[in-house]
Amino acid sequence: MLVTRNAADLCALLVNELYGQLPSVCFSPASPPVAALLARGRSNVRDLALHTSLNPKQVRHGLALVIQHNLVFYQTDHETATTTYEANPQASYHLVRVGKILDVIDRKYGTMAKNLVNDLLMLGHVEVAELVRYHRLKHSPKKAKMNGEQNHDHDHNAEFEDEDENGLEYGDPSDPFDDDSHYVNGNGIAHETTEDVTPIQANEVYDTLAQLIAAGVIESVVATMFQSPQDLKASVEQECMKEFPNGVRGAKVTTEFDTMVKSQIKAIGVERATMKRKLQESALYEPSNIKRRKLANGGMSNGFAGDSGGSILRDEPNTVVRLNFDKCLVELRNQKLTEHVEDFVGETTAQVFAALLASLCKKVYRCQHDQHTIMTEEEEETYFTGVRVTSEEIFDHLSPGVDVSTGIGSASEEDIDIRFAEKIRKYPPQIQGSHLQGTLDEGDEVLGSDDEDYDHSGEHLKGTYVNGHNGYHNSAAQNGTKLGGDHSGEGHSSRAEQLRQMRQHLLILAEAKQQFVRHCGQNEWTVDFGPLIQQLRYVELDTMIEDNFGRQGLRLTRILREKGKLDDKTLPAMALMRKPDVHVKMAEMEMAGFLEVQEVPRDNNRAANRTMFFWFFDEARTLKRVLDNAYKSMVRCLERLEVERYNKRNVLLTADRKDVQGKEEEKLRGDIYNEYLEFIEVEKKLLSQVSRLDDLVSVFQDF
Amino acid sequence: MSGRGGRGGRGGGRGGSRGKPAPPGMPGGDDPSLIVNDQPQETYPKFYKPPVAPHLTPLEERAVACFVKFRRTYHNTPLYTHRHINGEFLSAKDPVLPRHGQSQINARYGVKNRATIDPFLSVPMYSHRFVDETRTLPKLRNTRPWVKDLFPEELWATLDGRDTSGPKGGFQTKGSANRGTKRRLYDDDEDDPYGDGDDDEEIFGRSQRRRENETEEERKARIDGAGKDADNEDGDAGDLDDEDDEEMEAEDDEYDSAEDDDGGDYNAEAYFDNGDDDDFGDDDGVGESAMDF
Repeated sequence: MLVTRNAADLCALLVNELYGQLPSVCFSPASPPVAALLARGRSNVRDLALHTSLNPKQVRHGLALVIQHNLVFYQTDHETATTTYEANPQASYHLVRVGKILDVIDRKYGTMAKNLVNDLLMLGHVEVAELVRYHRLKHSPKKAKMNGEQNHDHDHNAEFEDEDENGLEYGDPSDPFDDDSHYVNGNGIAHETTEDVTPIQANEVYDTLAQLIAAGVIESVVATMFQSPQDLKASVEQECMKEFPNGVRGAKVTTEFDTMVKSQIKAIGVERATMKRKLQESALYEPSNIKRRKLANGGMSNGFAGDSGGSILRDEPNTVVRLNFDKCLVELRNQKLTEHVEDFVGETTAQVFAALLASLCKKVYRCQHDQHTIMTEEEEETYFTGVRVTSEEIFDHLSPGVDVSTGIGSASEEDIDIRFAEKIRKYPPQIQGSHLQGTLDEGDEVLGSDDEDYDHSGEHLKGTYVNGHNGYHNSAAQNGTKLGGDHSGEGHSSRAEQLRQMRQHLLILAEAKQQFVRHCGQNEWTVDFGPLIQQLRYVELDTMIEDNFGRQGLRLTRILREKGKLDDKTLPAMALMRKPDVHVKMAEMEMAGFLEVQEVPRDNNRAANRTMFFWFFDEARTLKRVLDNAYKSMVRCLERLEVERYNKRNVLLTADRKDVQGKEEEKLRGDIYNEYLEFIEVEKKLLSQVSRLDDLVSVFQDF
Repeated sequence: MSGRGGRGGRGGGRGGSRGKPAPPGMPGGDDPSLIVNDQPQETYPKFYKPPVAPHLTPLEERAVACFVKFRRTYHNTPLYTHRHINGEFLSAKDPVLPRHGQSQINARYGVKNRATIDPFLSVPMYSHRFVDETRTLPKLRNTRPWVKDLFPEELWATLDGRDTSGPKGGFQTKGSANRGTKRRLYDDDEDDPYGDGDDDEEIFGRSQRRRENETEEERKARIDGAGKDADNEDGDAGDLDDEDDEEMEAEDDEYDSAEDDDGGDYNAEAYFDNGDDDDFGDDDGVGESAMDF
């Protein structure tokens, strides 16, 4: 993340908005509020106190809080015993996504998972036992929390039942089926469980937690995570340097040194992932047929098997955990891509795509890698070879409510070129700079030594395809998903049939111009995130250019993007526009920073009429500018929110009173309540604007 | 050279409303057929219609609701430090009030003396029990167990609430001073005008639970024992009452020290009453006990 002034302001504002003033003051001190840590770089307490004009005690309190929430890195020099702090702008930017993350976790992993994530955001990093305790304290006696007396009783109950369960659970820890039923209760129908007044069972919480850790949403914390990646590398290098007393000189020693550093860093990665791997292994033992049976019953969708995970966690109550924003970003990316597919293809297909992403992303833990990312072995493997899933796995992840027979057209057998339709593309398309069309059309023809290969599994299914009941369904429900009752009506459509129909959806996706899915082997599918996101970026950028400069502007930029640098004489001809129009447009876009111009003089005296002008579209630079503008607008929105708060401060003061909070409608006088609602409306609009801008930022930068 | 020559010819095009040949240096300026309209732009467009944002999708609505809910819950924890503590934050928005630089604002952050107190609201009122006291320092001590290994050593004392205001905090005094003085030091800076009324909102509800779990006998024993010895094996339970007292004392002291520090050259309060603090301190003491229901 490039930290511009706007970005720094935004981070400070976000911290201020959520975690309060003191921590954010540590972020943003000086009169033009350029963030202290962000602007000054790393500093120690004394420097911070100096720059912020706060006293050291306040600075220390603020720092303790931001460390708790992992918003800063720190590094202690053991010789001088001084600690320096460094802002982690990415982490503080993530705060803007809190709402989205909670929502996506809610939908994917259930309400209890959402509450757990909520607690984690509240607490920062925390020990597992403490987290579970807090979770049960806060979320179980929902109705009783208003008045202290009842709360008291409930706590007692919770305490007792906890003990009971412990006894029970340690009594029969080995029965997988029993545990499984617990698990279903905890997640599939978690809504009902939390709505009840009955306190939450501790082992449910543990199981959910285990499941989240195995999925990578929550990660265990080790001390090295508080060092910035650069510091970490530097300290590892220093350690390794001790092994080479003669210094690192010469090619051989250098390579030795490098491999040593690499292995050390890998060891750190392994250390970080120990708990996750343990839980994943335990999850793997579950026989898959149990999961299928569950699916057939329609109780729940996408299951992680967190069977004995809970008890593993219980054995190590001192593991410290925190939320892993990288994984959350992956979930958000999946959501975004699904929306994208829905726009381009259709609803049912989008749901199939969502299922594909869900099964695929079990193994994807982060969206982007840079040279400082510490990868575990498993991650490295998937990073270099790519992940792939089979149709069966996708089908298991497909929510049973989806009627896969809708949304596909019917074509007679001879119209389909099976060799082309089922063509297997083993290699991912290359990201080709700014040549948009190139990626899409030529695709892997360039690489295609494997052109002739196609998936034969499509053929033997053809028989059913023709005499199935397909046409009937398509005519009935071309538009979208059918849910519930409809589904039960066609119980006769067998699993094989559904699987085949789902394959058709996947083939649609693979065949689409955007290449959402790559058919990478016999019945195997994968998604090339890089090119797909790149394309999404262009879509967003195009929309933006079209909104600002009209269709002609868009046309010009697209031409430039495809052709590279263009002389200003050929451009009008190519765009089929009048020359003056082109020039006006180009000048306009250049001033807005979307286009650049390069002068190449033909002779020494650089006269204008002896100079060639080449227009070009610099994607990286444009993106940076767009991002900075997005940050700026977000800052404006948050500042506006502050002004609105100031305007309505009397109302808000009343609404914030402890006896009013939560039951504003009955407590507030009519006109005040109306004003309060007005404010809520305004706040909602502003925050949604911020989150929309964040969508843009995510696409351009983080996905 | 030829670029400058072009300047003279510019007048020719002025009569036409369409525009003139391109100025020198502009890309494509050598093309005589290119006409550029260089009239100044309208300062504002004739009418400005800002695009209206589309309504929130259900997805966005849920996300915003989650965000707001999370924010509200966090703001009710003792770790949240309130905004708008001094008038300065308001004055930034208000065109009439004087403006201060951020560093000036920060310098007065959390300072509570007579100059910063709002005379209309600082008198304890019944409705204050429903209003969150404004917190300027997060209440780190006792609110939750901290995983100290993950914090740098110099912050450990801060987490324990033993932070002295010096440049090193409690970092070096650790273990050297006895318990009483340490707590004294802590309480010195606890600027919490309405006493310890936030037991019920401690993150983990620790103190509350602590008392709920004890039986009637234990409670009696605690109340008896509280006066005698705070450091016995049941001392933890006695702590809270003890704290309240100390905080009240600290409250009185605070105004003395604050005036020494901040009101150095011009002490407006001392102008009429010759700096006699007593009545104010008494008032505050009464208010304190009145607030402590």
